[in-house]
Amino acid sequence: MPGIYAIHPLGFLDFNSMTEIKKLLSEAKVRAAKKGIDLTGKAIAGDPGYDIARFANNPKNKIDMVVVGARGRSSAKEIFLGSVSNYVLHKSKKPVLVVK
Amino acid sequence: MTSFKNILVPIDGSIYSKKSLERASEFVDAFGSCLILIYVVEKSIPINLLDRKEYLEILRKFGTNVLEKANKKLSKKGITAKILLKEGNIVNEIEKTVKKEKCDLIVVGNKGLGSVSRLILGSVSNKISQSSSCSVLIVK
Repeated sequence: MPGIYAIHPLGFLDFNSMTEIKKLLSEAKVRAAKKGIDLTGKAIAGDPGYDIARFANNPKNKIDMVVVGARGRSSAKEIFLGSVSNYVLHKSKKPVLVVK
Repeated sequence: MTSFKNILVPIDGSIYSKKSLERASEFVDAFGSCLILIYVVEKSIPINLLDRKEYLEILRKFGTNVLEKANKKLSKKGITAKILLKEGNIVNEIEKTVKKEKCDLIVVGNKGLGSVSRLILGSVSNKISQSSSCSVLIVK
């Protein structure tokens, strides 16, 4: 089984706050390790939706499935799906699992 | 931990629904979950072409046909599935069965039999992913 990527695009944060991203990724790593899963953390800079979809579609990364939450952290609370989730859902060429 | 106990697979007889069925059967192998197949006879569109009754009868026949075919495929793999044939608005009926059968996951293809061959996401898949109360897997 390939490693699991935890992608954390910098779309909503400035580049100076790398510490927060590193903290998030290491937290995820610990959580995965507790269940015996190998996780590869990766931080990408750019527009969240666009870059997640591009990362997933890139054949080099060998992604089999994208798992996203239904709601993100954007302040405008949409009634249904978050904007990033929606974008990834539409643009990804790989299967997408939307967790609610 | 939440696991996928009940998986709902709405099918319409298109190649995309075949794909989603295959993916769902992989999930059954992995998690030992129950499969529920559903075909919804679309009732909400106004029909002028044929007699309404006749048209619905054709759709019903097509639906049972599709469901039987899917069930045969699954039984070859040794999976037993629950089969449902519903009538009404597609998305509403799917929502209702999700609540009724307490499904944890819906597996849909990225598009279906819609007349406009969309590039991205079908209308039903889109509506389900937007409004469903449980997790959704969109198979591409």
